[in-house]
Amino acid sequence: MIFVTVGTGSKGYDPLIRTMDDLAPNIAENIIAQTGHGIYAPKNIQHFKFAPSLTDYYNQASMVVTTGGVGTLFELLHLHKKILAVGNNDIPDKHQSEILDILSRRDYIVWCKNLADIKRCLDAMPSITLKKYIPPPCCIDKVIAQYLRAKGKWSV
Amino acid sequence: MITYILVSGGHAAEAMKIAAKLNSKVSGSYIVFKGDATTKHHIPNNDAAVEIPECFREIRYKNIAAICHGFLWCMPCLFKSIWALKKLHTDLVIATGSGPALIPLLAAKILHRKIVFIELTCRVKTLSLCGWLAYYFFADLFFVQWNSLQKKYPRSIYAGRLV
Repeated sequence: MIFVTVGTGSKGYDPLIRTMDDLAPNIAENIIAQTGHGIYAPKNIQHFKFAPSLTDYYNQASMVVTTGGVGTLFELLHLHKKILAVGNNDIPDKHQSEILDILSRRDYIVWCKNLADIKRCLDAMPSITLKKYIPPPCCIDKVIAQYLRAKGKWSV
Repeated sequence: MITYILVSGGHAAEAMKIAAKLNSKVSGSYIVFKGDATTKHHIPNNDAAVEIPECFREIRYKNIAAICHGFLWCMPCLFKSIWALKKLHTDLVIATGSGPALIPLLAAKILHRKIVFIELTCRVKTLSLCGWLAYYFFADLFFVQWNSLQKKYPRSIYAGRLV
């Protein structure tokens, strides 16, 4: 199963849903889509708006097609899923391209820059091997704690 | 007391990640915005939270009149923010953006509270507008989550990633 998600962004991302819906008859695998706040109703694929958790869908999917929302991307990276990401170009200053650029250059995801190319990307996915994401150690909390101690605001 | 400013979506999600790390050591309280119904679900049951009116959700001003209108409009938010920070006995404010967080940050600055700003993971090469303002005008500690961004902004700190 191929799972398509647009996350919880305020407008969804109908262009991706519409493209996947149009392609569905030519794709052997079953497709399920989470359409969020989008208004387009797919005709050829199973779809729903929101679910309390998408983890079950992620686990069942052979690959996940997603926009560049960080919440979804990193949840999937931690699950070591195969990710095909399409930047949402409808949001302010297109900032999703920054994260997609670095993650794809490090071979954690496949980035489909142009929706018109998505069929080619989908076909190529099975032959692509992606790297496992290992997060760097995080000590932001320790730096804040140290700062507070130095300012005498915190007695630990 | 640490007060977290929660703006809907990825901003609140990353703020709650740092809150989860710090909560075992120091108690936290929260500022949320009217209309952000889903964000309120993030807050642990017994923790203090204050709801304030929001402004600067989208910063798109065409002319001076619109800017003046924007500033007048943010006054209720500013007064409520000041009141909230006093009521919550805030020593330190932690924010992760975006626009609506600016006025509570200004309130924290007026009250001489310490300010920590954490730029979101999605920013690899450039700061968000809110992050840029925080870097130059508000933050005592400014975190970025990519090494490449730290090199561009020398006063910022790279200490790993929340996600």
